Amino acid sequence: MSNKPERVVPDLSVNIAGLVLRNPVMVASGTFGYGREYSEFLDLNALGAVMVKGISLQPWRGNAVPRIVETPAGMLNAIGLQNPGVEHYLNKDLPFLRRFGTAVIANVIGRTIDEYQEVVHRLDRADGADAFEINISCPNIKEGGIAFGTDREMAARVVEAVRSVTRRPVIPKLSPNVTDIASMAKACEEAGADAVSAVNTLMGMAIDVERRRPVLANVVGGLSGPAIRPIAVRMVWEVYRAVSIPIIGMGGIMTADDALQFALAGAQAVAVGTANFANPTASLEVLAGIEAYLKRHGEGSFAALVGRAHEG
Amino acid sequence: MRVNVRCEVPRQIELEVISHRKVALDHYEMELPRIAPFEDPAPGQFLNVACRDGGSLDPLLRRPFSFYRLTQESFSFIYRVVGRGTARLAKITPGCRVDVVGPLGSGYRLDDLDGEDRALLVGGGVGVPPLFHLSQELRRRDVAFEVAVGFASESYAIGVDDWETVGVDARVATDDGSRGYRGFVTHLVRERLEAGGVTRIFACGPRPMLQAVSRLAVHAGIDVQVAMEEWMGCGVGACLSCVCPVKEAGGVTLARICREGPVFDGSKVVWPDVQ
Repeated sequence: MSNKPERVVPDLSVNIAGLVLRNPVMVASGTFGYGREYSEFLDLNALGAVMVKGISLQPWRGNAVPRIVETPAGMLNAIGLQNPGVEHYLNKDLPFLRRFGTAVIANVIGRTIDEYQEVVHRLDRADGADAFEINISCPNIKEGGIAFGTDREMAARVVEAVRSVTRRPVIPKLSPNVTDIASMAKACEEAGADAVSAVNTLMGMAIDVERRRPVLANVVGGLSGPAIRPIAVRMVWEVYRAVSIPIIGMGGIMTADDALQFALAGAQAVAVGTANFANPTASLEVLAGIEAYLKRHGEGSFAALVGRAHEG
Repeated sequence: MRVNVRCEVPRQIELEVISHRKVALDHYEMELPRIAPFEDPAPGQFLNVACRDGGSLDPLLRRPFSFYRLTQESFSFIYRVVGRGTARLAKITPGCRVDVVGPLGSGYRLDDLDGEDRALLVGGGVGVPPLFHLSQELRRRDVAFEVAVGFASESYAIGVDDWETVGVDARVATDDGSRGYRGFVTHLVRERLEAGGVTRIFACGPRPMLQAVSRLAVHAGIDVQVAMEEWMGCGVGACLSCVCPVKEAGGVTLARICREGPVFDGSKVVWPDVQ
Protein backbone atom coordinates (compact mmCIF):
# COMPACT_ATOMS: atom_id res chain seq x y z
CA MET A 1 0.00 0.00 0.00
CA SER A 2 1.24 3.42 -0.85
CA ASN A 3 1.41 5.82 2.08
CA LYS A 4 1.44 8.82 -0.25
CA PRO A 5 -1.55 11.10 0.09
CA GLU A 6 -4.26 10.22 -2.35
CA ARG A 7 -3.78 12.11 -5.59
CA VAL A 8 -6.92 13.88 -6.65
CA VAL A 9 -7.44 14.44 -10.34
CA PRO A 10 -7.62 18.22 -10.65
CA ASP A 11 -10.89 19.73 -11.78
CA LEU A 12 -10.22 21.47 -15.08
CA SER A 13 -13.79 22.54 -15.79
CA VAL A 14 -14.63 26.19 -16.09
CA ASN A 15 -17.86 28.14 -16.03
CA ILE A 16 -18.06 31.18 -18.29
CA ALA A 17 -21.32 32.90 -17.44
CA GLY A 18 -23.22 29.64 -17.29
CA LEU A 19 -21.40 28.00 -20.17
CA VAL A 20 -19.65 25.02 -18.61
CA LEU A 21 -16.53 23.85 -20.42
CA ARG A 22 -14.68 20.62 -19.69
CA ASN A 23 -11.38 22.47 -19.58
CA PRO A 24 -10.06 26.04 -19.88
CA VAL A 25 -8.14 25.67 -23.15
CA MET A 26 -9.76 27.08 -26.26
CA VAL A 27 -8.41 27.82 -29.71
CA ALA A 28 -8.54 31.47 -30.75
CA SER A 29 -10.69 32.83 -33.54
CA GLY A 30 -8.98 33.20 -36.90
CA THR A 31 -6.31 30.64 -36.14
CA PHE A 32 -8.40 27.49 -36.38
CA GLY A 33 -10.85 28.04 -39.24
CA TYR A 34 -14.09 26.25 -38.42
CA GLY A 35 -12.25 23.28 -36.96
CA ARG A 36 -12.12 21.08 -40.01
CA GLU A 37 -8.47 21.58 -40.98
CA TYR A 38 -6.99 20.92 -37.55
CA SER A 39 -9.30 17.99 -36.87
CA GLU A 40 -6.77 16.01 -38.93
CA PHE A 41 -4.21 16.66 -36.20
CA LEU A 42 -6.16 16.56 -32.95
CA ASP A 43 -9.44 15.41 -31.42
CA LEU A 44 -11.60 18.51 -31.14
CA ASN A 45 -13.37 16.84 -28.22
CA ALA A 46 -10.24 17.42 -26.16
CA LEU A 47 -10.61 21.21 -26.36
CA GLY A 48 -12.55 23.39 -23.94
CA ALA A 49 -14.07 25.30 -26.84
CA VAL A 50 -13.50 26.24 -30.45
CA MET A 51 -13.66 29.96 -31.18
CA VAL A 52 -14.46 29.92 -34.87
CA LYS A 53 -13.26 32.28 -37.58
CA GLY A 54 -15.15 35.60 -37.67
CA ILE A 55 -18.63 35.40 -39.18
CA SER A 56 -20.33 38.27 -41.00
CA LEU A 57 -23.81 38.70 -42.41
CA GLN A 58 -22.69 38.48 -46.03
CA PRO A 59 -19.52 36.83 -47.39
CA TRP A 60 -16.42 39.00 -47.08
CA ARG A 61 -13.53 38.69 -49.55
CA GLY A 62 -10.78 39.95 -47.26
CA ASN A 63 -7.66 41.85 -48.26
CA ALA A 64 -5.17 41.46 -51.11
CA VAL A 65 -2.01 39.38 -50.62
CA PRO A 66 0.52 39.50 -49.04
CA ARG A 67 -1.69 39.03 -46.00
CA ILE A 68 0.99 37.77 -43.65
CA VAL A 69 4.59 38.44 -42.73
CA GLU A 70 6.72 36.88 -40.04
CA THR A 71 8.30 39.19 -37.45
CA PRO A 72 10.61 38.46 -34.50
CA ALA A 73 8.86 35.78 -32.39
CA GLY A 74 5.59 36.67 -34.05
CA MET A 75 3.72 37.51 -37.19
CA LEU A 76 1.67 40.30 -38.70
CA ASN A 77 -1.56 39.44 -40.45
CA ALA A 78 -4.06 41.42 -42.44
CA ILE A 79 -6.42 38.73 -43.68
CA GLY A 80 -9.32 41.17 -43.62
CA LEU A 81 -11.85 38.74 -42.11
CA GLN A 82 -12.44 36.76 -45.29
CA ASN A 83 -15.36 34.47 -44.52
CA PRO A 84 -18.28 32.89 -46.36
CA GLY A 85 -21.02 34.54 -44.31
CA VAL A 86 -23.45 33.38 -41.64
CA GLU A 87 -25.70 31.23 -43.86
CA HIS A 88 -22.73 29.29 -45.24
CA TYR A 89 -21.47 28.82 -41.68
CA LEU A 90 -24.81 27.45 -40.53
CA ASN A 91 -25.23 25.14 -43.51
CA LYS A 92 -21.69 23.94 -44.16
CA ASP A 93 -19.44 24.54 -41.16
CA LEU A 94 -21.61 24.15 -38.09
CA PRO A 95 -22.77 20.59 -38.90
CA PHE A 96 -19.15 19.47 -38.88
CA LEU A 97 -18.45 21.18 -35.55
CA ARG A 98 -21.56 19.68 -34.00
CA ARG A 99 -20.17 16.20 -34.58
CA PHE A 100 -18.02 16.97 -31.57
CA GLY A 101 -19.09 17.59 -28.00
CA THR A 102 -16.95 20.68 -27.73
CA ALA A 103 -18.48 24.10 -27.14
CA VAL A 104 -18.58 26.40 -30.14
CA ILE A 105 -18.02 30.10 -29.58
CA ALA A 106 -18.96 32.09 -32.66
CA ASN A 107 -16.81 35.12 -33.41
CA VAL A 108 -19.11 37.78 -34.84
CA ILE A 109 -18.06 40.67 -37.07
CA GLY A 110 -19.93 43.52 -38.69
CA ARG A 111 -19.60 46.85 -40.40
CA THR A 112 -22.55 48.28 -38.49
CA ILE A 113 -24.25 47.63 -35.17
CA ASP A 114 -27.24 46.24 -37.06
CA GLU A 115 -25.00 43.70 -38.80
CA TYR A 116 -23.53 42.47 -35.52
CA GLN A 117 -27.05 42.16 -34.14
CA GLU A 118 -28.41 40.34 -37.18
CA VAL A 119 -25.57 37.81 -37.24
CA VAL A 120 -26.04 37.04 -33.53
CA HIS A 121 -29.79 36.83 -34.02
CA ARG A 122 -29.48 34.33 -36.89
CA LEU A 123 -26.89 32.23 -35.08
CA ASP A 124 -28.88 32.25 -31.85
CA ARG A 125 -32.11 31.23 -33.56
CA ALA A 126 -30.37 28.34 -35.36
CA ASP A 127 -28.48 27.15 -32.24
CA GLY A 128 -25.35 28.03 -34.23
CA ALA A 129 -23.19 28.77 -31.21
CA ASP A 130 -22.96 28.22 -27.46
CA ALA A 131 -21.66 31.74 -26.90
CA PHE A 132 -20.83 34.82 -28.94
CA GLU A 133 -17.44 36.46 -29.07
CA ILE A 134 -18.07 39.94 -30.39
CA ASN A 135 -15.11 41.03 -32.48
CA ILE A 136 -14.82 44.76 -31.87
CA SER A 137 -11.08 44.69 -32.28
CA CYS A 138 -9.99 43.54 -35.74
CA PRO A 139 -7.40 46.06 -36.97
CA ASN A 140 -7.60 44.98 -40.60
CA ILE A 141 -10.88 46.27 -41.94
CA LYS A 142 -11.82 49.79 -42.84
CA GLU A 143 -15.25 49.89 -41.23
CA GLY A 144 -16.49 48.18 -38.12
CA GLY A 145 -14.08 46.01 -36.17
CA ILE A 146 -11.64 48.10 -34.23
CA ALA A 147 -13.67 51.28 -34.71
CA PHE A 148 -16.08 49.78 -32.18
CA GLY A 149 -13.36 48.50 -29.90
CA THR A 150 -11.44 51.70 -29.27
CA ASP A 151 -14.42 53.84 -28.26
CA ARG A 152 -16.23 53.11 -24.98
CA GLU A 153 -19.55 54.42 -26.24
CA MET A 154 -19.46 52.41 -29.47
CA ALA A 155 -18.35 49.24 -27.71
CA ALA A 156 -21.21 49.57 -25.26
CA ARG A 157 -23.72 50.07 -28.06
CA VAL A 158 -22.58 46.93 -29.88
CA VAL A 159 -22.76 44.88 -26.69
CA GLU A 160 -26.23 46.21 -25.83
CA ALA A 161 -27.48 45.48 -29.34
CA VAL A 162 -26.37 41.84 -29.36
CA ARG A 163 -27.34 41.40 -25.71
CA SER A 164 -30.92 42.16 -26.66
CA VAL A 165 -31.17 39.26 -29.14
CA THR A 166 -29.61 36.37 -27.20
CA ARG A 167 -29.59 34.80 -23.77
CA ARG A 168 -26.36 32.99 -24.52
CA PRO A 169 -23.09 34.45 -23.19
CA VAL A 170 -21.93 37.62 -24.95
CA ILE A 171 -18.15 38.01 -24.91
CA PRO A 172 -16.68 41.15 -26.51
CA LYS A 173 -13.10 40.65 -27.71
CA LEU A 174 -11.09 43.60 -26.49
CA SER A 175 -8.52 45.49 -28.52
CA PRO A 176 -5.09 46.11 -27.01
CA ASN A 177 -4.80 49.20 -29.21
CA VAL A 178 -6.23 51.46 -26.52
CA THR A 179 -4.77 53.62 -23.76
CA ASP A 180 -6.93 52.14 -21.01
CA ILE A 181 -8.18 48.62 -21.64
CA ALA A 182 -9.67 48.39 -18.15
CA SER A 183 -12.14 51.16 -18.91
CA MET A 184 -13.11 49.45 -22.16
CA ALA A 185 -13.78 46.25 -20.23
CA LYS A 186 -15.78 48.18 -17.67
CA ALA A 187 -17.90 49.75 -20.42
CA CYS A 188 -18.61 46.31 -21.86
CA GLU A 189 -19.52 44.91 -18.44
CA GLU A 190 -21.93 47.77 -17.78
CA ALA A 191 -23.50 47.23 -21.21
CA GLY A 192 -24.35 43.64 -20.33
CA ALA A 193 -21.34 41.59 -21.42
CA ASP A 194 -21.06 38.22 -19.66
CA ALA A 195 -17.30 37.94 -20.11
CA VAL A 196 -14.49 39.48 -22.16
CA SER A 197 -11.77 38.07 -24.39
CA ALA A 198 -8.43 39.80 -23.95
CA VAL A 199 -6.63 40.51 -26.18
CA ASN A 200 -6.85 40.73 -29.96
CA THR A 201 -3.76 41.56 -32.05
CA LEU A 202 -1.65 44.71 -31.71
CA MET A 203 -1.49 46.97 -34.73
CA GLY A 204 1.88 46.80 -36.40
CA MET A 205 3.72 47.23 -39.65
CA ALA A 206 6.73 45.94 -41.55
CA ILE A 207 8.53 47.60 -44.46
CA ASP A 208 10.47 45.85 -47.21
CA VAL A 209 13.65 47.91 -47.36
CA GLU A 210 14.62 46.67 -50.81
CA ARG A 211 11.30 47.62 -52.36
CA ARG A 212 10.87 50.52 -49.91
CA ARG A 213 7.22 49.66 -49.55
CA PRO A 214 5.04 48.20 -46.75
CA VAL A 215 5.20 44.40 -46.83
CA LEU A 216 1.48 43.84 -46.32
CA ALA A 217 -0.92 44.80 -49.08
CA ASN A 218 -3.09 46.32 -46.34
CA VAL A 219 -0.04 48.34 -45.12
CA VAL A 220 -0.76 47.62 -41.43
CA GLY A 221 -1.66 44.36 -39.75
CA GLY A 222 -2.25 42.68 -36.42
CA LEU A 223 0.79 41.46 -34.48
CA SER A 224 0.39 38.11 -32.74
CA GLY A 225 2.57 35.38 -31.30
CA PRO A 226 4.88 35.22 -28.28
CA ALA A 227 6.18 38.71 -29.05
CA ILE A 228 2.95 40.20 -27.62
CA ARG A 229 2.48 37.92 -24.62
CA PRO A 230 3.86 40.22 -21.90
CA ILE A 231 1.56 42.99 -23.09
CA ALA A 232 -1.43 40.66 -23.13
CA VAL A 233 -0.69 39.36 -19.61
CA ARG A 234 -0.43 42.93 -18.33
CA MET A 235 -3.76 43.80 -19.92
CA VAL A 236 -5.52 40.77 -18.43
CA TRP A 237 -4.08 41.82 -15.08
CA GLU A 238 -5.56 45.31 -15.50
CA VAL A 239 -8.95 44.06 -16.73
CA TYR A 240 -9.19 41.62 -13.79
CA ARG A 241 -8.84 44.53 -11.37
CA ALA A 242 -11.56 46.51 -13.13
CA VAL A 243 -14.39 44.04 -13.76
CA SER A 244 -16.03 41.08 -12.06
CA ILE A 245 -17.04 39.18 -15.21
CA PRO A 246 -14.81 36.31 -16.43
CA ILE A 247 -11.85 36.93 -18.72
CA ILE A 248 -10.72 34.63 -21.53
CA GLY A 249 -7.00 35.34 -21.80
CA MET A 250 -5.10 35.17 -25.07
CA GLY A 251 -2.10 36.68 -26.78
CA GLY A 252 1.02 34.69 -27.64
CA ILE A 253 0.32 31.58 -25.59
CA MET A 254 2.74 28.88 -26.78
CA THR A 255 3.14 26.73 -23.66
CA ALA A 256 1.37 25.77 -20.44
CA ASP A 257 3.56 28.23 -18.52
CA ASP A 258 2.30 31.02 -20.76
CA ALA A 259 -1.30 29.96 -20.17
CA LEU A 260 -0.74 29.80 -16.41
CA GLN A 261 0.54 33.37 -16.43
CA PHE A 262 -2.80 34.44 -17.90
CA ALA A 263 -4.73 32.44 -15.30
CA LEU A 264 -2.72 33.88 -12.43
CA ALA A 265 -3.26 37.35 -13.86
CA GLY A 266 -7.01 36.73 -13.80
CA ALA A 267 -8.13 34.71 -16.83
CA GLN A 268 -10.74 32.01 -16.16
CA ALA A 269 -9.93 30.39 -19.49
CA VAL A 270 -7.30 30.79 -22.19
CA ALA A 271 -7.13 30.61 -25.95
CA VAL A 272 -4.22 29.33 -28.02
CA GLY A 273 -3.90 31.18 -31.32
CA THR A 274 -0.82 31.70 -33.44
CA ALA A 275 0.86 28.73 -31.72
CA ASN A 276 -1.48 26.46 -33.70
CA PHE A 277 0.32 27.51 -36.89
CA ALA A 278 3.74 26.64 -35.47
CA ASN A 279 2.53 23.47 -33.79
CA PRO A 280 -0.86 22.00 -34.74
CA THR A 281 -1.23 20.28 -31.36
CA ALA A 282 -0.06 23.24 -29.26
CA SER A 283 -3.47 23.53 -27.57
CA LEU A 284 -3.35 19.94 -26.30
CA GLU A 285 0.19 20.39 -25.05
CA VAL A 286 -0.88 23.50 -23.17
CA LEU A 287 -3.75 21.55 -21.62
CA ALA A 288 -1.53 18.63 -20.62
CA GLY A 289 0.96 21.05 -19.10
CA ILE A 290 -1.73 22.81 -17.07
CA GLU A 291 -2.93 19.50 -15.69
CA ALA A 292 0.61 18.48 -14.77
CA TYR A 293 1.15 21.83 -13.05
CA LEU A 294 -2.02 21.45 -10.97
CA LYS A 295 -0.96 17.97 -9.88
CA ARG A 296 2.56 19.11 -9.11
CA HIS A 297 1.24 21.87 -6.90
CA GLY A 298 -1.53 19.84 -5.33
CA GLU A 299 -4.18 22.21 -6.64
CA GLY A 300 -7.68 20.78 -6.74
CA SER A 301 -8.85 22.90 -9.63
CA PHE A 302 -7.82 25.27 -12.38
CA ALA A 303 -10.40 27.76 -11.12
CA ALA A 304 -8.42 28.07 -7.89
CA LEU A 305 -5.54 29.65 -9.81
CA VAL A 306 -7.52 32.47 -11.32
CA GLY A 307 -6.19 35.85 -10.26
CA ARG A 308 -3.89 34.39 -7.62
CA ALA A 309 -0.99 36.65 -8.62
CA HIS A 310 -3.00 39.57 -7.27
CA GLU A 311 -2.90 38.24 -3.69
CA GLY A 312 -0.57 39.52 -1.04
CA MET B 1 -15.40 17.21 -61.08
CA ARG B 2 -11.75 16.23 -61.15
CA VAL B 3 -10.09 16.24 -57.80
CA ASN B 4 -6.44 16.91 -57.19
CA VAL B 5 -4.41 14.20 -55.53
CA ARG B 6 -4.27 14.08 -51.74
CA CYS B 7 -2.51 11.31 -49.91
CA GLU B 8 -2.48 10.22 -46.29
CA VAL B 9 -3.90 12.33 -43.52
CA PRO B 10 -1.10 14.74 -42.62
CA ARG B 11 0.74 14.42 -39.34
CA GLN B 12 3.34 16.20 -37.32
CA ILE B 13 6.46 14.10 -36.78
CA GLU B 14 10.15 14.42 -35.94
CA LEU B 15 12.40 12.79 -38.53
CA GLU B 16 16.12 12.11 -38.39
CA VAL B 17 18.11 13.72 -41.18
CA ILE B 18 19.76 11.08 -43.36
CA SER B 19 21.79 13.44 -45.50
CA HIS B 20 21.99 17.16 -46.15
CA ARG B 21 24.08 18.57 -48.95
CA LYS B 22 24.62 21.66 -51.01
CA VAL B 23 23.31 21.16 -54.55
CA ALA B 24 23.91 24.63 -56.00
CA LEU B 25 24.76 28.13 -54.84
CA ASP B 26 22.45 28.82 -51.83
CA HIS B 27 20.50 25.59 -52.49
CA TYR B 28 20.44 22.49 -50.27
CA GLU B 29 18.86 19.05 -50.47
CA MET B 30 17.74 17.46 -47.19
CA GLU B 31 16.98 13.73 -47.13
CA LEU B 32 14.57 12.24 -44.59
CA PRO B 33 13.25 8.73 -43.95
CA ARG B 34 10.25 7.71 -46.04
CA ILE B 35 8.04 6.62 -43.15
CA ALA B 36 4.42 7.36 -42.29
CA PRO B 37 2.87 9.72 -43.11
CA PHE B 38 5.43 10.33 -45.86
CA GLU B 39 5.32 6.91 -47.48
CA ASP B 40 3.70 8.11 -50.65
CA PRO B 41 3.40 11.89 -50.99
CA ALA B 42 1.80 13.04 -54.23
CA PRO B 43 3.86 15.17 -56.64
CA GLY B 44 3.05 18.81 -55.93
CA GLN B 45 2.24 18.26 -52.27
CA PHE B 46 4.53 19.83 -49.68
CA LEU B 47 5.81 19.50 -46.15
CA ASN B 48 5.97 22.27 -43.55
CA VAL B 49 9.28 22.35 -41.72
CA ALA B 50 9.98 23.94 -38.33
CA CYS B 51 13.14 26.03 -38.55
CA ARG B 52 13.24 26.97 -34.86
CA ASP B 53 16.26 26.25 -32.72
CA GLY B 54 15.21 23.73 -30.07
CA GLY B 55 12.85 25.42 -27.63
CA SER B 56 13.22 28.80 -29.32
CA LEU B 57 10.13 30.62 -30.55
CA ASP B 58 11.93 32.24 -33.45
CA PRO B 59 11.55 32.02 -36.38
CA LEU B 60 7.98 31.26 -35.39
CA LEU B 61 6.39 29.89 -38.54
CA ARG B 62 7.16 26.73 -40.48
CA ARG B 63 8.57 26.86 -44.01
CA PRO B 64 6.77 24.98 -46.80
CA PHE B 65 8.85 22.93 -49.27
CA SER B 66 7.77 20.63 -52.06
CA PHE B 67 9.09 17.09 -52.33
CA TYR B 68 12.03 16.47 -54.64
CA ARG B 69 13.16 12.87 -54.82
CA LEU B 70 11.72 9.60 -53.54
CA THR B 71 13.96 6.57 -53.03
CA GLN B 72 13.09 3.20 -51.53
CA GLU B 73 13.87 4.41 -48.01
CA SER B 74 13.87 8.17 -48.22
CA PHE B 75 12.40 11.35 -49.57
CA SER B 76 14.12 14.69 -49.99
CA PHE B 77 13.34 18.33 -50.50
CA ILE B 78 15.40 21.16 -51.94
CA TYR B 79 15.32 24.67 -50.54
CA ARG B 80 17.04 27.94 -51.21
CA VAL B 81 18.48 29.99 -48.36
CA VAL B 82 16.62 33.27 -48.52
CA GLY B 83 16.06 34.34 -44.90
CA ARG B 84 16.32 33.53 -41.22
CA GLY B 85 14.40 30.26 -41.37
CA THR B 86 16.23 28.69 -44.27
CA ALA B 87 19.60 29.93 -42.95
CA ARG B 88 18.82 28.10 -39.70
CA LEU B 89 17.77 25.00 -41.60
CA ALA B 90 21.03 24.97 -43.56
CA LYS B 91 22.97 24.44 -40.31
CA ILE B 92 21.24 21.16 -39.46
CA THR B 93 23.54 18.15 -39.72
CA PRO B 94 22.73 14.50 -40.51
CA GLY B 95 21.55 12.64 -37.41
CA CYS B 96 19.69 15.68 -36.08
CA ARG B 97 15.93 15.60 -35.98
CA VAL B 98 13.64 18.01 -37.77
CA ASP B 99 10.01 18.68 -36.91
CA VAL B 100 7.87 18.40 -40.02
CA VAL B 101 4.15 18.48 -40.83
CA GLY B 102 2.76 16.86 -43.93
CA PRO B 103 2.12 15.79 -46.56
CA LEU B 104 0.02 18.90 -47.21
CA GLY B 105 -1.87 20.42 -50.09
CA SER B 106 -3.27 18.93 -53.28
CA GLY B 107 -0.83 17.72 -55.89
CA TYR B 108 -0.88 17.49 -59.67
CA ARG B 109 -3.95 15.78 -61.16
CA LEU B 110 -2.81 12.64 -62.88
CA ASP B 111 -6.00 10.59 -62.87
CA ASP B 112 -6.81 11.12 -66.56
CA LEU B 113 -3.31 10.70 -67.98
CA ASP B 114 -2.72 7.74 -70.27
CA GLY B 115 -0.18 6.21 -72.64
CA GLU B 116 -1.20 8.58 -75.42
CA ASP B 117 -0.09 11.63 -73.46
CA ARG B 118 3.19 13.47 -73.81
CA ALA B 119 3.81 15.83 -70.93
CA LEU B 120 6.09 18.86 -70.83
CA LEU B 121 7.45 19.65 -67.37
CA VAL B 122 8.42 23.30 -66.99
CA GLY B 123 10.39 24.49 -63.97
CA GLY B 124 11.92 27.76 -62.91
CA GLY B 125 14.57 28.12 -60.19
CA VAL B 126 13.60 26.62 -56.87
CA GLY B 127 10.29 25.64 -58.51
CA VAL B 128 12.03 22.74 -60.27
CA PRO B 129 11.95 20.17 -57.39
CA PRO B 130 8.27 19.12 -57.50
CA LEU B 131 8.65 18.41 -61.21
CA PHE B 132 11.38 15.92 -60.53
CA HIS B 133 9.09 14.20 -58.04
CA LEU B 134 6.40 14.27 -60.73
CA SER B 135 8.77 12.79 -63.31
CA GLN B 136 9.38 9.81 -61.04
CA GLU B 137 5.64 9.24 -60.88
CA LEU B 138 5.14 9.71 -64.66
CA ARG B 139 7.89 7.20 -65.32
CA ARG B 140 6.21 4.72 -62.99
CA ARG B 141 2.98 5.22 -64.94
CA ASP B 142 4.71 4.96 -68.30
CA VAL B 143 3.67 8.42 -69.39
CA ALA B 144 6.07 10.07 -71.85
CA PHE B 145 7.47 13.43 -70.79
CA GLU B 146 10.04 16.06 -71.64
CA VAL B 147 11.60 18.70 -69.42
CA ALA B 148 12.46 22.39 -69.74
CA VAL B 149 14.02 24.22 -66.81
CA GLY B 150 15.25 27.77 -66.32
CA PHE B 151 17.62 29.41 -63.84
CA ALA B 152 19.19 32.80 -63.27
CA SER B 153 22.60 31.31 -64.01
CA GLU B 154 24.46 28.00 -64.00
CA SER B 155 25.53 28.47 -60.38
CA TYR B 156 21.86 28.23 -59.34
CA ALA B 157 21.03 25.32 -61.66
CA ILE B 158 19.63 22.60 -59.40
CA GLY B 159 19.21 18.98 -60.39
CA VAL B 160 20.07 19.41 -64.06
CA ASP B 161 22.03 16.17 -64.10
CA ASP B 162 19.42 14.24 -62.09
CA TRP B 163 17.06 14.11 -65.07
CA GLU B 164 19.21 11.37 -66.61
CA THR B 165 18.04 9.08 -63.82
CA VAL B 166 14.48 9.37 -65.11
CA GLY B 167 15.61 8.93 -68.68
CA VAL B 168 15.35 12.42 -70.16
CA ASP B 169 17.62 15.24 -71.29
CA ALA B 170 16.36 18.50 -69.88
CA ARG B 171 16.30 21.60 -72.03
CA VAL B 172 18.01 24.30 -69.96
CA ALA B 173 17.76 28.07 -70.12
CA THR B 174 19.65 30.61 -68.03
CA ASP B 175 19.10 34.35 -67.87
CA ASP B 176 22.80 35.01 -68.48
CA GLY B 177 23.47 32.19 -70.92
CA SER B 178 25.97 30.49 -68.60
CA ARG B 179 24.23 27.18 -69.33
CA GLY B 180 22.00 26.23 -72.24
CA TYR B 181 19.79 28.74 -73.98
CA ARG B 182 20.31 32.39 -73.00
CA GLY B 183 16.92 33.74 -71.96
CA PHE B 184 13.72 32.59 -70.29
CA VAL B 185 12.55 29.00 -70.19
CA THR B 186 9.26 30.20 -71.66
CA HIS B 187 11.07 30.64 -74.98
CA LEU B 188 11.94 26.93 -74.92
CA VAL B 189 8.32 26.13 -74.12
CA ARG B 190 7.06 28.17 -77.05
CA GLU B 191 9.51 26.45 -79.40
CA ARG B 192 8.55 23.02 -78.15
CA LEU B 193 4.81 23.68 -78.43
CA GLU B 194 5.25 24.91 -82.01
CA ALA B 195 6.92 21.60 -82.89
CA GLY B 196 3.74 19.82 -81.73
CA GLY B 197 3.02 16.58 -79.89
CA VAL B 198 2.79 17.91 -76.33
CA THR B 199 -0.59 17.17 -74.73
CA ARG B 200 -0.01 18.35 -71.14
CA ILE B 201 2.02 20.94 -69.31
CA PHE B 202 3.00 20.74 -65.66
CA ALA B 203 4.77 23.79 -64.30
CA CYS B 204 6.24 25.24 -61.12
CA GLY B 205 8.23 28.43 -60.73
CA PRO B 206 7.88 32.18 -60.32
CA ARG B 207 4.42 33.66 -60.93
CA PRO B 208 5.36 35.52 -64.15
CA MET B 209 6.71 32.26 -65.57
CA LEU B 210 3.56 30.36 -64.61
CA GLN B 211 1.42 33.07 -66.13
CA ALA B 212 3.38 33.04 -69.41
CA VAL B 213 3.35 29.24 -69.59
CA SER B 214 -0.38 29.14 -68.90
CA ARG B 215 -1.01 31.62 -71.68
CA LEU B 216 1.07 29.58 -74.13
CA ALA B 217 -0.76 26.41 -73.14
CA VAL B 218 -4.22 27.95 -73.41
CA HIS B 219 -3.27 29.35 -76.81
CA ALA B 220 -2.19 25.87 -77.91
CA GLY B 221 -5.30 24.27 -76.41
CA ILE B 222 -3.27 22.19 -73.96
CA ASP B 223 -4.20 21.30 -70.37
CA VAL B 224 -1.85 23.15 -67.99
CA GLN B 225 -1.34 22.66 -64.27
CA VAL B 226 0.75 25.08 -62.23
CA ALA B 227 2.08 24.77 -58.67
CA MET B 228 1.97 28.11 -56.86
CA GLU B 229 3.88 29.56 -53.95
CA GLU B 230 2.88 32.16 -51.36
CA TRP B 231 3.77 33.13 -47.81
CA MET B 232 1.84 30.80 -45.54
CA GLY B 233 0.81 31.00 -41.91
CA CYS B 234 -0.55 27.59 -41.01
CA GLY B 235 -0.07 25.55 -44.19
CA VAL B 236 -3.26 23.58 -43.52
CA GLY B 237 -6.00 25.95 -44.69
CA ALA B 238 -7.01 27.62 -41.44
CA CYS B 239 -5.48 31.10 -41.58
CA LEU B 240 -6.39 32.21 -45.13
CA SER B 241 -3.04 33.93 -45.69
CA CYS B 242 -2.13 32.28 -48.99
CA VAL B 243 -5.20 32.80 -51.14
CA CYS B 244 -5.24 33.05 -54.93
CA PRO B 245 -8.19 34.06 -57.14
CA VAL B 246 -9.41 31.14 -59.25
CA LYS B 247 -12.27 31.02 -61.76
CA GLU B 248 -14.98 28.52 -60.91
CA ALA B 249 -18.46 27.82 -62.21
CA GLY B 250 -20.05 30.28 -59.80
CA GLY B 251 -17.49 33.03 -60.37
CA VAL B 252 -14.09 33.85 -58.94
CA THR B 253 -13.27 32.26 -55.60
CA LEU B 254 -10.29 32.79 -53.33
CA ALA B 255 -8.66 29.37 -53.22
CA ARG B 256 -6.17 28.47 -50.53
CA ILE B 257 -2.79 27.70 -52.08
CA CYS B 258 -1.96 25.42 -49.14
CA ARG B 259 -5.19 23.41 -49.34
CA GLU B 260 -7.01 23.51 -52.70
CA GLY B 261 -3.54 24.14 -54.17
CA PRO B 262 -0.64 24.48 -54.50
CA VAL B 263 -1.52 22.97 -57.89
CA PHE B 264 -4.16 24.76 -59.95
CA ASP B 265 -5.44 24.62 -63.50
CA GLY B 266 -3.37 27.38 -65.10
CA SER B 267 -6.26 28.37 -67.34
CA LYS B 268 -8.46 29.03 -64.27
CA VAL B 269 -6.07 31.17 -62.24
CA VAL B 270 -6.89 34.88 -62.40
CA TRP B 271 -3.48 36.27 -63.37
CA PRO B 272 -2.56 39.91 -62.90
CA ASP B 273 -2.93 42.15 -65.94
CA VAL B 274 0.32 42.48 -67.83
CA GLN B 275 1.15 45.68 -69.67
